[in-house]
Amino acid sequence: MYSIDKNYDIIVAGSGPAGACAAMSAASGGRRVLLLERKPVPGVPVRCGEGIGHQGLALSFEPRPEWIKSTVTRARMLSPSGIGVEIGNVGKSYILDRERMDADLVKMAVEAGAEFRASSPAVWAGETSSGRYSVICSNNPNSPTEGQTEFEASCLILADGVESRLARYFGWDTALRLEDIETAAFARVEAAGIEGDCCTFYTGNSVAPGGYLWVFPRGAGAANVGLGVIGSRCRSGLPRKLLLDFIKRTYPGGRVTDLHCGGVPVAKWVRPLVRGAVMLVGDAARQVNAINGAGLAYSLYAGRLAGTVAAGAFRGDGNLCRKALLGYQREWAKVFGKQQERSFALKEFIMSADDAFLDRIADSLSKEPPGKLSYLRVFMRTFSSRPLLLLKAFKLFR
Amino acid sequence: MTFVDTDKCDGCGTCVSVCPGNALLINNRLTVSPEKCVSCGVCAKVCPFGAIVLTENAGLTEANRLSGSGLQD
Ligand SMILES: Cc1cc2nc3c(=O)[nH]c(=O)nc-3n(C[C@H](O)[C@H](O)[C@H](O)COP(=O)(O)OP(=O)(O)OC[C@H]3O[C@@H](n4cnc5c(N)ncnc54)[C@H](O)[C@@H]3O)c2cc1C
Ligand code: SF4
Ligand code: SF4
Repeated sequence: MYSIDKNYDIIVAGSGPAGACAAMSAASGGRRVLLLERKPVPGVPVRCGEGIGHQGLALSFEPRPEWIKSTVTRARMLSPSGIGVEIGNVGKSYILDRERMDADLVKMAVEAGAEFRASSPAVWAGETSSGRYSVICSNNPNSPTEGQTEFEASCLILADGVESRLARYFGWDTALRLEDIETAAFARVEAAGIEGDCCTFYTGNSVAPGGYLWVFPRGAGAANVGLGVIGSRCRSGLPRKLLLDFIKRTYPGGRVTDLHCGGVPVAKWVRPLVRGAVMLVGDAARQVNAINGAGLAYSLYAGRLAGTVAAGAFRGDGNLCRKALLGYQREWAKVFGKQQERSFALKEFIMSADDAFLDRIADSLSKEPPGKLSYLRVFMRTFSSRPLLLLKAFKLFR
Repeated sequence: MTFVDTDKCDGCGTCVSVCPGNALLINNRLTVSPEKCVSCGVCAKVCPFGAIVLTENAGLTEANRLSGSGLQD
């Protein structure tokens, strides 16, 4: 069975935060929008530590109480040999309920007028002879080629996450280098002793080579525990093994649920962000903070921006002005682009830090009163012990 | 040649993101297009759950029987 539906202005592929926000904004702008999602239920399973700063969230949405599992005000960093650094001043941060939030974002897109199709993996995309775009979806979970539906639109917004596979049909080479991906395993852990208001980070070669391990509380006694390993130092199954070892060691008798894995692109944002009338958003565009792997705030922002620009690029007669789409890249570059590039440049340094170095920094920081320590101060101290890097960093921040 | 242990695979897409040949596709489960695979092995290296094994002769596994030679590229 094969069917074609040409009735759309904009197709958004992928209904994560970036895609759902793009569809929401594009539909609010009065366009006919189709939102495609591979999974039967958007946001399930959650592949995320669910941490976000108040500012990052508030930039795109008024934080809703039902999206927030816990509010975090302090953090602790543990060096490879176990030296703890208490950071008393982390600003207001949240651990989210992403299952709830992702579902709500899709609901908001539908309320704005977008058509949502779950269980609809886009397996192919390309330009048609009439200059529009076609996306082919598989309807058969057991075969990508038997039983397909084709959709056509004037504009595509690709939000297919870390895979960024659809972009490859339009000439982008989005395959990540092994130095530019954190490969992750994570689980929900219930154990006595997990503090509800404190995030804990563990570093070191034996814990998470070229990455870090995080404990993000979902209230007292429960947390998201996960770790990332840099692709170049990963081997088959290593993240899973490291995570389970850590949990066994740290939470004997704890209950482990929802063990999953994922990949975090820690690359430079993709350039160009727009080709013809195809736009990339979110993880698919590598809009992620390369130092800590946070991509949620960027995805929400970029999704809304791309959707708004796309809707605005349609003229009164319904035709699309492709040039107007370039406003998306311009605005992204202005607001977050530089910041993301800096993170990427500093990633190189973080990756090169060995265990002895991390211990030394932690030792000197642990002597400072926690109330005075902020992430920025930790950062500065780290750099000041390597003057050449400090110089480099300052050049980047200028 | 790439063989996917579909019991271990979590469908996270990490392997897809590094595959230089665009040989991997998640439809419902992960499928491999053997004609596009260049046997570089990076998919297996990065898989957090160790679900991918490189083999000389992958045989008629479930995953390989589903592989998409009919895709339009
Ligand atoms: C383990 C882990 C922990 C993380 N922790 C944090 C954190 O604590 N804080 C933070 O800010 N960020 C975190 N991130 C990053 C954050 O999750 C991502 O940056 C964010 O989800 C990106 O949103 P997105 O919409 O671009 O992509 P995604 O959320 O990945 O959404 C992509 C969607 O597209 C769908 N899709 C993919 N291919 C297709 C297709 N061909 N057809 C149809 N649909 C398709 C997928 O099913 C998915 O629903 C973490 C990531 C991981 C992997
Ligand atoms: S990286 Fe591993 S778990 Fe993830 S989709 Fe690929 S084979 Fe499956
Ligand atoms: S071996 Fe290389 S080309 Fe083949 S599927 Fe894996 S990553 Fe792709």
